[in-house]
Amino acid sequence: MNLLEVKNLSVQYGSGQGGVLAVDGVDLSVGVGEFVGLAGESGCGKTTLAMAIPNLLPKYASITTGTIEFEGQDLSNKSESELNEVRWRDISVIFQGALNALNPVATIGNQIAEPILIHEPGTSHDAAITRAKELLEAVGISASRSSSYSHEFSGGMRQRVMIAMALACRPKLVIADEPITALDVMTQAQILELLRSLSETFNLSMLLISHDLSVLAETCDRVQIMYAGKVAEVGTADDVFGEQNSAHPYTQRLLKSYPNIHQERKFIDGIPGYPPDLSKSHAGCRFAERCTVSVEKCFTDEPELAVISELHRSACHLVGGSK
Amino acid sequence: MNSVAPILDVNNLTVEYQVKTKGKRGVRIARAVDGVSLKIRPGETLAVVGESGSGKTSIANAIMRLIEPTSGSIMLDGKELTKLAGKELRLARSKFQMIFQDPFESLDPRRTVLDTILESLVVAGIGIDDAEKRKLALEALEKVGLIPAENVGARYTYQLSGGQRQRVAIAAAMILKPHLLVADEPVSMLDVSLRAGILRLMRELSRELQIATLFITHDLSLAWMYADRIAVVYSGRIVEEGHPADLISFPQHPYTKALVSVIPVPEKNIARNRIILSGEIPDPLEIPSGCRFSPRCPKYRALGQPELCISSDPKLESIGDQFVACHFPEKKETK
Repeated sequence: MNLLEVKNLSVQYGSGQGGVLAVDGVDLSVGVGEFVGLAGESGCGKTTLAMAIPNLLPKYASITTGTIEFEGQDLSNKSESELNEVRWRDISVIFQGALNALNPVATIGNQIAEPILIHEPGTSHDAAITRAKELLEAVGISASRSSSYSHEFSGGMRQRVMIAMALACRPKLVIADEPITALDVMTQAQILELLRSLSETFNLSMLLISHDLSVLAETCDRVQIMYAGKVAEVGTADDVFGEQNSAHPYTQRLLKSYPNIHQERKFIDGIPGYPPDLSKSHAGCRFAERCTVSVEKCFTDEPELAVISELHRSACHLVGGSK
Repeated sequence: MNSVAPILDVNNLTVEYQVKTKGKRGVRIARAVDGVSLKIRPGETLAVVGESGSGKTSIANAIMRLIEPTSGSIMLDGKELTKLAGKELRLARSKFQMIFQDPFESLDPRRTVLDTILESLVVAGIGIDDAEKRKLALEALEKVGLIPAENVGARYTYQLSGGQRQRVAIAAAMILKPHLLVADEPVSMLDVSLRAGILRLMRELSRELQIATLFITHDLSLAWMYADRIAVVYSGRIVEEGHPADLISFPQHPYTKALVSVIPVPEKNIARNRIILSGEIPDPLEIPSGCRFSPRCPKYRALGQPELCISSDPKLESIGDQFVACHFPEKKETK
């Protein structure tokens, strides 16, 4: 059984005619100890999908269809107090923009101890601080820094603190939303290395959200590519990356949008046009307008997520043959 | 190409910030840029690549005269920019234009697109009548692919997407036919699928108008793809400079070598040895003595911590076609 099994999930912002279906009938699974990458461009619904799991959506968003099974329990109809039992202890989140998410007037140690004190009542303050110090050491920060404040830390160090905090209550699943986006390349490499080693030490499963395919290629076991609220392609990292394997024209074009220093030096291709406006209704494939290989059918029939191989799925009428 | 006089010729540029500190010493000096020299010729792009805190944005801002350089010379078309002030500087500005990283902050949301472009002409003191200005502005919008120009021009900048806004910023800069364009992370806020379009546009316009481009980025692979030359900066210094293909395939400075090794690649199972440096760029208040990279340098440790690296600050010296500031640069195997 998978640790997390999301089925046919739809999330809508606003309601009625002005509503926007940001996530539209999406499946997502994360196995025990698995690193799953969730990728796509701004507005594709990746963050909305991830935040729907522990229901951290804003008030004007609502889950309209689907189930979110975590260890066999459906989270989608749980009350706020029931969800609070799950948050931090089972599922924790490393938020986007974490660099500014720390409290400037609380010490680092106290901030890491806070979720422990709240979610594990009965823990003494001293015991919580001791654990906070162990966590700091685990993310590569000296325990002696636990009485420092966040402004004394660089971006990379703050991100390490955010990771330590996410691990505070020994969760089974960590959702990391663009955890390295604002960091330098060298710091990115440091943090990714850290996440990988922590996942082994703490036996973590991870949902890693990023707009950067190249980061996911190097980190994840499986990757799910989203486009305009739908899954375009999902598969093992080997299935999805590499132009030979990728089965969706969107993924293929996206991969060509990155310079690849291991190939010939040439100008990146990019993708013409812009993603569709989700407040309007669609016929056919949502990528058809920007797709260079689309045929008539693509503008009329919406493609199903079709099986390509054991774990590989693609929502394209021209599956496999679209080079 | 070397026979053509450079448009931009920067010599020994230094930028220092005064930092107020607690305690008796009061004010301390943070050196963000420390003796940087660079040249860019017409139609050429030089990428300055570095991590945050490396001083790359300070270099750009000093050249744009947005901050005052502490010392050094900045020659544009043979004229010393650091000596210009007041109206002279304002009029000279049309010849060096900048594109900023964040098109959501660099454009005034209360102006229409057309007004934004016209403003550029007004500030530069271009003395032509309004109808002529309007015609130029519409042409500029067409040129950057914002069509139909009349329609797009009437919209407010906040109504545009990030990619469209960056096109407006390019139009506003290019309408003045600058000789130098400073682009500070022009695509890093944009979705990857849109980057190619913006970069292609910048390249076409800069080739057509023979503009010298200073491209500031943290992204070495983007610099490799786009630029004619790359200068890698670390702690306020250029540590290596060369042609992109050479610099990526054979980095001679240990810092460049490490940076190249961690460039993420959109492929699975690429055989590579990542060199992950520990620590961070030094605090500009406390730049290490000798080679400023030595505390993090894998080669310094591998060589048994040679005295030279902490006693002497390496100069940027030419090795073949590349320039390297290292006492022990990587050597090419001679066949």
